[in-house]
Amino acid sequence: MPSKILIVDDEINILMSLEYLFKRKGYEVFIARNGTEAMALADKEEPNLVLLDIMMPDVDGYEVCDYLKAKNPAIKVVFLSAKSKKADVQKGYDHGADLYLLKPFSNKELLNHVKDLS
Amino acid sequence: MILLLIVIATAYLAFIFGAAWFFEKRMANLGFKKWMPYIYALAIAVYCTAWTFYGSIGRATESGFDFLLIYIGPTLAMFIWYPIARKLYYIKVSQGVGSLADLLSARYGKDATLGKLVAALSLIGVLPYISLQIKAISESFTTLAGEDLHLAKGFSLADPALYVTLVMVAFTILFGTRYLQNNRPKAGLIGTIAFESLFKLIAFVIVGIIGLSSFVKDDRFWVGIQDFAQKPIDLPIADFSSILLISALSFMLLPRQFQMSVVENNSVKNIPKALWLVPLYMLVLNLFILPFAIMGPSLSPETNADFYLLALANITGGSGTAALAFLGGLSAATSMIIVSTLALGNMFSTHVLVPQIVRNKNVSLERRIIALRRWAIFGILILAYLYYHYIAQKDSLVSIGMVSFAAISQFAPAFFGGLFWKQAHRKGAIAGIASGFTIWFFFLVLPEILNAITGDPNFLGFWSPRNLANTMQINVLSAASIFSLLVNSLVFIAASLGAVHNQEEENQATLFVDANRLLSGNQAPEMYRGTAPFPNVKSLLINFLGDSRTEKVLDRYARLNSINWDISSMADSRMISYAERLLSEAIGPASAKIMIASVVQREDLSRNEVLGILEESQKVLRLNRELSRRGDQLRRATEELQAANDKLQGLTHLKDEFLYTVSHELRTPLTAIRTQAELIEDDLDMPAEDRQRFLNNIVKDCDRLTRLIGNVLDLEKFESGNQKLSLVRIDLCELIENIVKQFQALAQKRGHLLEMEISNQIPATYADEDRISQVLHNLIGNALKYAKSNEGKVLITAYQLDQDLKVNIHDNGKGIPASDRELVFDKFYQVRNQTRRKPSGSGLGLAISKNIIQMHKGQIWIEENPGGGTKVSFTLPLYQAEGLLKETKMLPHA
Repeated sequence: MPSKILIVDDEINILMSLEYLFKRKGYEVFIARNGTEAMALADKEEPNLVLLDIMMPDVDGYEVCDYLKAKNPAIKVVFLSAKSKKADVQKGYDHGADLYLLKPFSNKELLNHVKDLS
Repeated sequence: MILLLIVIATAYLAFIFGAAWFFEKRMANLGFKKWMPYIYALAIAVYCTAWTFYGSIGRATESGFDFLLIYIGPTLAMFIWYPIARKLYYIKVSQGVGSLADLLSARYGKDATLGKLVAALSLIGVLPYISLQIKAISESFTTLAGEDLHLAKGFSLADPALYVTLVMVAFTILFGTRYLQNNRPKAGLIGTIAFESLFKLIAFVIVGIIGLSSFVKDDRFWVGIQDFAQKPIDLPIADFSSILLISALSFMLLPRQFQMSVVENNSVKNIPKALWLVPLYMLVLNLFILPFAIMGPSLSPETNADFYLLALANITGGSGTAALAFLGGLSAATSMIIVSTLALGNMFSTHVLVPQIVRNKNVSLERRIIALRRWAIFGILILAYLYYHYIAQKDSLVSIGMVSFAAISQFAPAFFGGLFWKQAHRKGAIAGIASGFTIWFFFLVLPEILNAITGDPNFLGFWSPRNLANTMQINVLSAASIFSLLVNSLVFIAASLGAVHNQEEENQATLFVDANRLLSGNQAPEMYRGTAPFPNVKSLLINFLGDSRTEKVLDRYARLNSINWDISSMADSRMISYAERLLSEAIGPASAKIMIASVVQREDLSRNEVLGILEESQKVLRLNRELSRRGDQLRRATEELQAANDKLQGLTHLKDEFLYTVSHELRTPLTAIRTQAELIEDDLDMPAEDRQRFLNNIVKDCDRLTRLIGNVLDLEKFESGNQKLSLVRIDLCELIENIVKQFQALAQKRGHLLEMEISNQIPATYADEDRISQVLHNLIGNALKYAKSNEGKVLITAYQLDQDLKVNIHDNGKGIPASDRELVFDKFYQVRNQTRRKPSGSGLGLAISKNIIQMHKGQIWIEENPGGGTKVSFTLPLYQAEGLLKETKMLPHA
């Protein structure tokens, strides 16, 4: 604490508002609009927690998660996804995620989870 | 010329050997099955012999139109032929019938005497007729060669007919006696006979056309036609009808006809086509008879009228045409010789020779039976040759043929009575045939013999046939035919009525008369009570059929009836009946009956018992058919149900998938809205511009949600068929221009070039303006979205293509892989089964566009585009009136 957080989502409004939320709470925040960008940024900034969307152009969230966990097993990954099937959630955990949060979520809820994890 | 004739005749005969070999080996497994009815019909045209080919012209020259009666008779017979032929087919298969003698013998209590009688009288009646064919070959040769080759007396090795006869012996033995079963169709034989029929027809037509094209230039031809037309037709009605009658009867009963139309028939399905093909064949063959008959006397007065065809072919078309005519005549003669000799040989050996050897049961008889047939064939042909050589020199072709017809007609009462009258009895058949033949002999044969002996044609004075016929003012042939058939029929009926059937006769009578009902299952009917030790039956079969065939048929029988021979050491009555049928196919019904009787202590079943068993097995057969039909239905129903279920499951799956995707698409903007709203809610100190920004975003995301919900509802309407089009007359060109104008601002903002090229000639059409606008919005919006990010370019073209309007929207972006070009029109293609997102959008635009275009009866697709980028094209049918689309209703997607 305070942690470095990387937020990855291709939906610009979600990305911007989460960035605003976590900055206001004093986190160091980086944002990426797609998987490729996210991996590059993670290599550079070495965040300890990543908020990760799954459905993105080019590289999807699962691949990004694999990449991050391979580089740094200690890194915390929270999937933020609209994919609501049980199988989707299971897949998220199978890829090593620490948490799978279904969109939409409340900001408080998200903040609490992130706090617990960091 | 002689050399040419010898060469082509030899080549022709060699060819038919080759053809027979080919048919024998290949007919079963080449695509001949669908041609079988035609082959069958052509094979029946073996009726048209050298008599037709040469003799009809002679007859027409002599007495005008009456040659046609010989073909009109069979044509009339065709009207009643179907039920008879069908019945005969069933009887042939289930009773092991291989000839007319077998048929009559089997029908009348498997009587040996009747079989012998029919075989012997057929031989007497038809032998001169075979001689006639040999004579035709020989004389056709002589006519063309211009020399008298057969020396007046004695035997001459220079006679070509001798060699043809010997070749015919070889052919008939080789291709006619291949199988022990007399009733088995022989592909090589039937194929060759059909080929010969085709050949003689083609030859006759070619020669006829060549002749006719030359005759029409000759004045004498036209004068001749007038003379012919003015010739009074003075044939007495009795002569007229007797020729019709005996030719119709002969067409059904002549040994060669019975052989081709019944014995060699392999399916009931062959019969219907023959009913019209055979008369048609005879009609075509007779077209050219008259021209030759008219011109013969003028152009070639020195020629025998029977051979005008050859002489005139030579005059009008040269030696090549003459040679073709000669080959046609040769094919007509040889096909008759082959089939007649085979049929007579089978009859004679089965009913006269085989009974002499079957008494000796202790040797293998299989080879001997076939050998007997071969010797019979050889003997008959040699006899025919000798008859031709020593006796038949002076008669015309037709007269010998008619005498033959009159003889064969004598079998008619017993034949028809046997098939349709249960009371018809063996004694009636024998007495009728014998009396009919006696009268035939008295009128048509005796005078010739007496004349030869005494030199006096009217030796009998008042009682001489000629005198009797003259008194009645009809010709001798008519008198012979009418009297013999009349007496024959009366005797047959009277003797049948007076006779009492024994059990077996009654059973057979019932089976034959009701063959359509009782025998169509092809099963050997069960006739006896009683059993026999199986080894006895088996050794009997081996005796006649040989080891390997016996093993084979018994194996098959055991398999069909689920019998284990090792355990059941007694053959039951069904097995015995089956064995009798197998024997009957080889040695005829009468001998088979005797052989079976020698191993089985049998007791005939009563007619009712036979019928009961048969009805039972027919019922089982019908039940089986019904069951298998029901089974089929059930299976089909199950399959349909399965398919419907699969479809339903597919639909359910699609629905689930759809809901899942919709929820995903709803959650995304909802997430943004909630997050931003909570930010504002929780942070009262938020700077005004940030708050403003978030509020703006929230409004936009709400719009996005509204659009999405609208799209989902739209799509649901289209897919459920509830969407209606409201058609108005629209100018597509104007519509596109307006929409492009609306998009220009967005394009400029993205730095894209949006252009259109629209033909001015686009006619107005009826369409739903709002819906087509929606499609254009979707497509142009997509194109701008997917165009290259810098230097993006979108081009819209529209023009008339035949009866359609075609619109293309072309961008210069990455394009769509060929494998996905159809999938993109599925709803939510973007998200389905994948985790990678394409640029944003509801994912429903193309699906909705597709529905709209399809409702207009147009098409939409991604066009192959070698230039790169994506090119979406759609067509709209050009509707000039409003009403055309009214009925259109969108069908739900499957």
